[in-house]
Amino acid sequence: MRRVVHVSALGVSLDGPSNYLRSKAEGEAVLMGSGLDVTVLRPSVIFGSEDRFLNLFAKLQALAPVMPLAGSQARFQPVWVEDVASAVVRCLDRPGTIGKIYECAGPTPYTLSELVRLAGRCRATSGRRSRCRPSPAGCRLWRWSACPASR
Amino acid sequence: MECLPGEPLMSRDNVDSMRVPNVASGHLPGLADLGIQATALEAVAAGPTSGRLSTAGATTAGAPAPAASRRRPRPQAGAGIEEGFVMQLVIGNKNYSSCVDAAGV
Repeated sequence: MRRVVHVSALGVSLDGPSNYLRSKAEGEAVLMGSGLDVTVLRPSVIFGSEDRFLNLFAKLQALAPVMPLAGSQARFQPVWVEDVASAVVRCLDRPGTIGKIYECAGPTPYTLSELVRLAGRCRATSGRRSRCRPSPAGCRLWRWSACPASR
Repeated sequence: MECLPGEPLMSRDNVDSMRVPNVASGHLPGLADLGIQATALEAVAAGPTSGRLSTAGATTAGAPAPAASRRRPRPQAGAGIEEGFVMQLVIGNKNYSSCVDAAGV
């Protein structure tokens, strides 16, 4: 196997503030120096029907009237899981992507507070009948997501 | 959250990760360079989902959407988005926010 598409994360740095970001940066460095045909994707927080980020906050708000939230002003640019899955496929299809790093982000930045409120509104307006229709690509990829709650 | 029973909901390392913005730098190529139009969160989260975000209504540019996701989400009865509020509590050097949606829960 020579071709690798590595799903990393936005904000990675060898001197980053967390073990997660530092280890992701180290992983990128190892792969980029491996001699393999590597493309790196750096997604922001990934959302989708089974994500463990927004769904987590939606569930928590169903249980508790008040939710303590650290890092409420932290900024995210959530990207849909199926967009990330599509990016993986496109990279595999395009040899010109080898050796490059792509940032995968949604169209809008939000603070964590805004995302949690949005998750609460989704929960508040949801019915009992599920309309989740994840695509196969989405189902596969959400487990690799860079969601903070899944680290 | 780290101390709750079961799998940790959020760890200290998660919080540390949030100290840097998790947004695109703009200095590197992005989804558009791969021919993908990024999907808005609101487009995906619009449907009723039993507590989970729906994927109905969102499509990925350049790829035909499956029949189930070609439909745009229809407004649901009572789905008018009402604003909640955020309370922030600072203890020492930690900043906590309490998010309460319009339903009061």
